[in-house]
Formats: sequence, C-alpha cells, structure tokens
Amino acid sequence: MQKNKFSFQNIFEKYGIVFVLILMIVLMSIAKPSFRTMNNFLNILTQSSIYGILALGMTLVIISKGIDLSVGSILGLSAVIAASLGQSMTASNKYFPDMGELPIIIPVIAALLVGSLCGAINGGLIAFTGIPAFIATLGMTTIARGFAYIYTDGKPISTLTPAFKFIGQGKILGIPMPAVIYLIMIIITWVLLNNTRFGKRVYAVGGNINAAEVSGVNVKKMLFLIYTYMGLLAGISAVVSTGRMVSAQPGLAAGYELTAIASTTIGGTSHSGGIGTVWGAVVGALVLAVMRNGMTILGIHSYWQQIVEGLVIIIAVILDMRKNARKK
Amino acid sequence: MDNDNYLLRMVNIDKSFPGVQALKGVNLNVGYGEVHALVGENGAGKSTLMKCLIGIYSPNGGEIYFDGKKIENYTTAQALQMGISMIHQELSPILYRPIMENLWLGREPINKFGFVDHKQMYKQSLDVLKEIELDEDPRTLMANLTVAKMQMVEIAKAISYNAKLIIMDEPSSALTEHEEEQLFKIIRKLKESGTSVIYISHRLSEIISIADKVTVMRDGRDVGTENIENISLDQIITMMIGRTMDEMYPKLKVNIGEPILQVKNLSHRKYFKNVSFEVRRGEIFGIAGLIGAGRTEVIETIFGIRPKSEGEILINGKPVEINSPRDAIANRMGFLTEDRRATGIFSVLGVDVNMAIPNYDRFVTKFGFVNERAVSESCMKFVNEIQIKTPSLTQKIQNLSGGNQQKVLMARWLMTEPDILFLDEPTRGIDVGAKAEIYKLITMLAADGKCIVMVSSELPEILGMSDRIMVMHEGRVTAILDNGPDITQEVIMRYATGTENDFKEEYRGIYAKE
Amino acid sequence: MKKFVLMFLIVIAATGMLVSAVGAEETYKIGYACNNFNDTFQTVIEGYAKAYAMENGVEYVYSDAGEDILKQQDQIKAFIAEGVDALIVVPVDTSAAEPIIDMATEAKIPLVFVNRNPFAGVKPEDIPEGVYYVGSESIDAGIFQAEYLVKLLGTEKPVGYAILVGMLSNEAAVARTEGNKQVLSKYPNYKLLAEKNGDWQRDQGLTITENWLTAFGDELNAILSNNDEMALGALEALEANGRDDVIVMGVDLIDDAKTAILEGRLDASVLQDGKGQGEGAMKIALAALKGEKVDPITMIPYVLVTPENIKDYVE
Repeated sequence: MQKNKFSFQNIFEKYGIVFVLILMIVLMSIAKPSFRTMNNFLNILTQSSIYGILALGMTLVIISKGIDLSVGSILGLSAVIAASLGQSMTASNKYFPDMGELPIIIPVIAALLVGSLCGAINGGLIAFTGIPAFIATLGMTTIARGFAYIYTDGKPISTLTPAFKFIGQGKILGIPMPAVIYLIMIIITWVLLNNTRFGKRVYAVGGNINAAEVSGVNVKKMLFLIYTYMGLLAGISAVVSTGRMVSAQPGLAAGYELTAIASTTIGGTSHSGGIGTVWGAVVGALVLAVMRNGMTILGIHSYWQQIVEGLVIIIAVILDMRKNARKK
Repeated sequence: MDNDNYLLRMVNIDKSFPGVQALKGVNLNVGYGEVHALVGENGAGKSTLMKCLIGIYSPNGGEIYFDGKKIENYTTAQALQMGISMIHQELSPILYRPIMENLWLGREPINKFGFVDHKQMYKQSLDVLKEIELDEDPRTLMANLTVAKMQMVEIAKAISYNAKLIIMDEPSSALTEHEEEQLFKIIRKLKESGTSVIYISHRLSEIISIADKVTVMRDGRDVGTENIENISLDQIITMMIGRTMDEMYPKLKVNIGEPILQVKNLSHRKYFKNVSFEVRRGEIFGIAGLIGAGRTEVIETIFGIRPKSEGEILINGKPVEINSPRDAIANRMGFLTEDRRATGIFSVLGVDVNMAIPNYDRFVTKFGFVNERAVSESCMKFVNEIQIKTPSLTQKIQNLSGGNQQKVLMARWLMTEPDILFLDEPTRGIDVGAKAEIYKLITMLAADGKCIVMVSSELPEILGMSDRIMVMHEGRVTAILDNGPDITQEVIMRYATGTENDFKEEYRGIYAKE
Repeated sequence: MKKFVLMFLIVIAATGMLVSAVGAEETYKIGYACNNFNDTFQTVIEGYAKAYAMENGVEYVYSDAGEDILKQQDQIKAFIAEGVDALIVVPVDTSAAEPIIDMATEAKIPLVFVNRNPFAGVKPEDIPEGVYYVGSESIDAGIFQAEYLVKLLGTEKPVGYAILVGMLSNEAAVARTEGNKQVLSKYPNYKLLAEKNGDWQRDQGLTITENWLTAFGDELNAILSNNDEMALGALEALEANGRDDVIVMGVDLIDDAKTAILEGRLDASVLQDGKGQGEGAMKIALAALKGEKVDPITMIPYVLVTPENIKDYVE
C-alpha cells in the first residue's frame, strides 16, 4: 500500500468541500480585494444565516431519510405573524390597531410556536399516517403559504419595534445578531445530534428504520420530533429575516427550502439516510453564500450565477458519491 | 493436459487487489453435464473466483479454458455469449415489470418497424418457462412471484441464453423445502441435457444430495476436489475450517434454574395459535419447524413487534404487558433478528452506534448528554470480550464480515444486560468459523444464567445447542422435547411436518409433554 | 358509467342555464385574472377594480396565477366556461398574451389587459377588435427616476449607480431598467456599476445591496429599483452600514414607501396610478359591453412622488 498517497486522498475526500470553500475564498480575495474585508465576511455569515439555520434542521430531516419542502412557507407564515405582533406604535398600517407595543419576546415566541406547530403537523402526518415526507410537506407548503396570504391579505407588515430591528441588524461584540443566532443554533444542533440520545436515534432511524424499531427506538416519536425541530428552526429563521428587513411579506422565503436542501447536500448529507453532519450543513451554506456574494461582487451576470450554482450542487454530490464508492 | 474431458478448466488462477492476495493458484475443473459444488467459508475466495470466470475481474495469472478453447480478456456480455451464465445470490429483478420483460431484458425481440414485438416475446417466454416447468403467465409481474419463482425465472433466463455452464450462488438460501426440491429437479434436468452447474452453498447437506463433485476453498486456495461419494459432511467441514466437528458445538454443563419466561396460550390473529412454554434460567430453548410454521412470529409477538390476539406472558411469575419492543427491552429482553440487513444493522453507521443504540439511556449524564467515553469503554469491552474484528469503533458496520456484524449485534443486546435473549437464526449467512464462535458465546451466556430462546432452521444447530426443543407445524406447537441422544433430525422432522403431534395445547407447566 | 356521464351533462347544462339566466337580468359578470397576489401593487389595482365593480352592480370573480403562465391560461379558460361577459387580465408574461387573446376572441367577449402591456411597440390599429389595454408606459417610470436623479446629483461630478431589476421575464422590469439607462447613458458622468435581478422581493434587495456595498463602497451613489419592495430592502442594507448618502428610488408608492418618503429615508417613488388603472380597466370593460366606442389603448400617466409632493398622497 502507498501509505502517503492513501492518507492524503483520505483527507481530501473527507474534507473535500472545505478545500473547495477555502479555494473559493482565496480566489475571490485575489480577484477582488474588497472581498477579503472583515465586514464582508460578517456579511456572508449574516446572509447565510437564514437558510443556514434551515439547513441545520434539514440535516436532521435528511439524515432520517426524509425531506421537508415546506420550510420556506413555514418561515413566511411565522414571519408575518411575528411581524404583526412586533409593530411599533408609529406604524401607519397597524395589523392590530388597538394593541400597544409588545415586548419583543412575544412575537419571537409566537414565531417559534407557529413554526413548531407547522413542523409538528408535518411530523404527525408522516409518523402516524405513514404518508411520505415528500407529500406531507408538499401539502404543508401551499397550506402555510395560503394562511400567510389570508392573514396579511397579501400586504407586507412593516415598521417594527427597535428591539425587533436589533435582532436583524444589531451587533454583539461587533458580530451581527443574525450571525450570533446562527452560531448559537449551530452549537445547539451540533450538541443535539452528537451528544444526545435523540441525535443517535436520528441516525438510527435514517440508517435502518426497521432495526431502529426492533432496538426499542420509538420511531414515530422520533419522526414527529425531527419535523417539529425543523419547524422550530424555520420559526427562528423567520424572526431573523423579519428583523433583517424590519418587515415581513407573506411571500417571503419562497424557494428557501431548496437552498436549505442544497446546502445540506453540498455538505455531504446523504439522501439515502443515516449519513450527515452539522458542520457539513454549515460549510454547504457558506459555499452557497460565498458563491452568491462573490459572484455579485465580481459582477457576474445573474443568468450565469444560476448556472454556476446548479453545477456546484451536482459536482458536490458526485464527489460525495465517489467518496462512498471508493470505500467499498 | 487433455482439455476435451472438461467443459471448464481454470488453471492456477491468481488474483490480487491492492494489499490483498485474494486467489492463489486456484484450480477448478468442471466436466460436461456435471454439478460441481464449490464450498468454503465467506472470504475463502469463491466469489472472486466466479467473478474472474464471468469476466467481472480479469485474473492476474493463470489460464481459463472453456469448451476446449482458451479464453481471456472478455466481458460479462461476451461470457454470456460463450455460454457462461451466473445466477446471483441477491436477485435484482425489475419488480413491477412482467416476467417476460425480465427474461428478455436488453435483447427484446423487435419487429420490422423497430418496435418491441410483444407477441413474439410472449411466445418465446412460454417456451422457456415450460422448459423449467414454471407454470406462470409470462405477463405476470415479477413482484407477484415468490422469491423461489423469481429464482426460477433467473434460471430460465440463463437457459434462454443457451448456457453451457450455469453458476448458482446460494440459490437455496431463500427457498422453502418444497421449492428447494423443485430447484433440484431443474438442476437434474439441466444436467441431463448436458448443461454443467457450479453450485455454491453454505448448506452442506444440499451439496451431498445434488452435487457430483465438490471443490473446497480456504484462504484463497483450493484445498481439494473430491467425488461426492468419497467424502462425508464432516470431512468437508474439516477441510473448510481446518478443524473438526467436536469443536463446533461447545455445549457446557449448566445448572438450570427457575422459570423466567412463561408463555401461556399465546395466539396471533394470523400466524399461530395456543402457544405455551416456559424457559428457565440458564436454559437454551430451541424452536424448530419448517418455514411458515410461525416460529419467528411467536418470538416477535413476545417481543412486542407483532400484536398478540390472546394469551399471557409472565416474567419471573408476574404478568407483563408488552406492546412494543420498548416494553420488551424495559422487561430485560433482547432480540437478535433473523434478517441482519433488513432489521439488524445500521449499515452506514459505526460499530459503536450499532452496539449502543438500545442502550443510550444508561450512558446519559444528568444534563441529558451522552457520555461518549462511557459508550466507547463499554463497546471496547465487548469488542475485546467476544473478539469482534474491527479496525476501530467508528468503522462502518457494513465494512465488517457477516460473522463480525452478527457479533456486534450480539453485543448490542448483551449490553442491555437482558435476562431473556431471543435469537432468530443466529448463524444465518455467516461462515463456519464465525458460527463456532457464536455458539461458544451463546453457551457462555446460558452458563451466565440467561434464558436463551433460539429459532433456527438448521437442525444440527438446534440439536447441538438446545436443552429443550419446541417444534411447530403450521402455527401450532406439535412437541416440546427434552434434548438427548434419542432426539434426531428425523424425530424433529416428524413433528415439524405434522406427522406426529403429542402436544396438549392447554397450559400445564414445564413438562407439558408428559 | 353511462349514468355518471349523463348526470354530469345534466349538471353542466343546469349550470349553463343558471349563468345565462343571470346574464338575462342585465347584470354583467366580469372576471379579473391577476398575475400574482404576492405583488403588493397588483392587489392595489385589483382592489380598485373590485370596488368599482361593486358600485356598479357588476358580478365580480377573480383568480390568482402566482406568476404561472399556464395556470393563468387555465383560469381564463375556466372564466370563459363559467360564462363571464368580459375579461380583465394582468398577463403573467406579456410575450405570451396571444393565447389569451385567442380565447377571448373565440368566446366573443371583450378583453382588457391592465398594468402590463402586451402591445408595446404595436400600432393601435393593429390591436385586434375587442381587445384593450389600460396602463402606464413602463419605460416612463424608469425615465422619471433617472431624470429626478440627474436633477438631484447634477451633470458634473461622477455618479455611480446600480439598478435593482424585478423578475427578468416581466416587461415592467425590462422597460423600467431600459428607461433608467436611456436617460443616464446620455450623461458621461453617470456610470452603471451593476444591475441584478431581485425578483421584486425585499429580502433580495437587501442581500444584493449588501454585496454591492462591499464591491463598490463609496463609488455607489444611487440605487434605482424597479419597485418599492426591493428599494426598501436596499434602504435597510444602507442604513445598517451607515450609508445615508445613497439615493434610493422605487416604483409603485406602496404604503411602506409612503412612510419611508415621509421619514426622509426613501428619496422618491414613482406612482403608477393604481386607482386609475383598476377603475379604468373596469370602466372600459363595461363600456365595451354596452357597445360604446373605446380606444384600444388608454394610458394612465405615472406620477413622480418625492418629499415635496408626498403630502398629496397621504390621507
């Protein structure tokens, strides 16, 4: 055996996508000095935070061999409800005209509850009726979106309290709040997946659902919890994006589910279940954010950006499959 | 040498992969119209040799002569053209297409417009199916066939290629007794028509009854080829593992204690009725019967995988309500399932997770986090104790051999510290050497005071290991026998086929038979 | 099976009679096919059309195509089958208006396109009989923005500007962008730094602007947005970066934009007269039904709204 070559290959295959990310950052930095400013890196982190948070939950969902197409819609619904409860007194078109300014915790809790509830409905359908996740969440996609339109009558909800604005635009120790929240959720999800029974069982459910059942894992409860957690993260993401725009639109985040799925997939989470990591989802989200940020800065036309994004997703999966094939 | 006497001669075949010499100078000679068994432990090189033969691998050294001609550097498609056809262990039919499309896949007859000629296809399919006496409409979907019939379709496909040599890799592993007989009939017919068969199987008794010659492989070499009349089963095993039969079932003398598990008049809506038995501390309780007798279903029902329709389960004399595997585990039961792939291993996960999955509750700190160090230590203990060969704890279990996978699953249940352990076909699909180790482990567990309930289709295993044997026939218990020298395979078969039945179905305690 | 078909036919026939019975009472039924209710300004136009219909005793039905061309065609088909007397349509894609025109012509009912102009560059006499357009010249909005920008920043010192483009397939996006460039390309001191599509969405306007700030820094002096939503997103990005020197303009004058102009944050918006378009479309449909002579194209002028005249637009 040629040991050196072997181990190098091993490292490259295991962390290949990290190298891709570093390479992208280096190339962009050379091409455009303004790319490598601290400010821009914080920007990238902030920009990736919204779908990055979704990708964290999507990692759990995909490890368990599922899919959630409804996260964009759940985000939209949670966002408009949170915004309606978070309007400031000066708002010209108040959703609740007679209501005073509520403390920020109320709209935040509302968003998390709405998100979790939608997720729980997804999870309940999947776990207890046995309909495929693809179908259940596809249904939820249009249902949640419909409710968002009904709730707002199709109009944006704006002029939110300063506290809400702080969540989207404030900074702690120079780090933008969305990035702070993203980092916290990364840590929580990482611990959840790696250091708790729940996490171990997520892998087991995706790895072999029958064996999990026989091993005493409550598979139905697991599925229910996984989708509920996904919904909760959609709620958190909704708070962040509402804060960033200091407003919410019922059509918000359409298609974000695909970005989240793409991030997760680029990060090496396998759709055949049982394989995936939180850091993979983070790197995947960053790859997409760096790409979008970088290409805009370089002035690459919108049309081409879409093509490049698609290619990156496909190439990432090919690399990943090669990695798994080689092991056999 | 004279090539004309043999249809196939493989001479001094070498094959190496990076780091491994898989085949070392293997010879295999197969005559015309001969059924030639190829046996050996898993990893002995049988599959590699066959892959060299059908053109998936090309050997690094040696020569292959087929039908008097030297052949080299060919593809599987070319091998098929020459008349070498293989029926794989894991069938891969296209389930929701008809039989005939599966038969003619890739060489569908076409009409003069270039469209598939379904009429022609149907007619040709009828002919081929008739040849193997498979009475099915060629338009039937594959999904509607039993595994045995799918296998027959595969054989039909091989015949339709005018194969001179058909390789069958573990063809009987999924078949019932009756279906197996059907298969043998076809093999004999093939033989009469001059077709040769290479028959790979773990079931040595089959080989004795169907093969003309047997070649034994071990560690990438052929250990010898014998005419089947000149060799006994024990001799074959000794050749395969390099040790004798006595070492196979290392039964220890164990003091049998009080009843732990009591099952009273247990019934399942569909699979079995009025099953009653007791298992005592330190006892190995074998359950025998033909496929479909309801053995697996009985223990699955006790373990809460299936709902019972009637009956009572007592542990240590107290009635327990078990509605899910979780309840069973809480009552200190463990269950090693029959189908390792489908309901046992998490193939892409590590050895550690595979072992620890029902046990995480005991490795949790007061903050709810998993104590990884405790998990590893515990796993490591089992890896050492029962000698699981794995490069690391995080190794994906799919990269381990079948025997080692089975040991990991044993360790999984041992870690739960069960009082009662259900083993469903504990040695299915693993090689002889690993079998011996599993038997040793089971014996040690019994000696350690656990109840073992073992379902097995291999009668030597049941007879070699059990203290008592329950025999079932079509969902009913036909006997509970104390194991002893007078209990032979024939005795058990009489109960298993229902020709004899002396079991009184109302519950009367341990010695129900008397 | 036969019974079922028979029943089905009876139901259809009954529905048909009902519809014709309603028609006989001289109340008109008019179908409004909106492109996308997620587009705030579209809901404004639709609201005025609906209000006008109610006042005049018109039976009003509407649909939302969610920016899906085929969905819209199916909805219009359904309207015709339902027996509407006239159609008002905001086409999803102005280049795919042909099938809609064919359907209306075949059904011999008047068709009024509103807001999005499928006849840009077509001579009025070439527009088919019974088909009308009510709206504003999209390019004007872009021209208004650009001219006001020149008025604000002058023609001397160098100015870097960027354009937030709507959805690439929309005529309004293409024409407004074109209007911006048509004016500004005449002034050598104006440099187009970038143009990028933000699909009309506020969050995308925000993200794109953040990236522009990184790329161009102080070079960026103005952002012309195809609509208010994206402009408001751009404002959030600018304010978060402490850049209150950048001129931002939108189109549509939605409520949020009014507030932003009043607060002095947004520099201008161009008002498409939603009331004029919505009511106008309904008026023309009714006039055509009553057999009055109607011009095929009715232009409702744009209005530039700035801090100077914003008072006129707040109730």
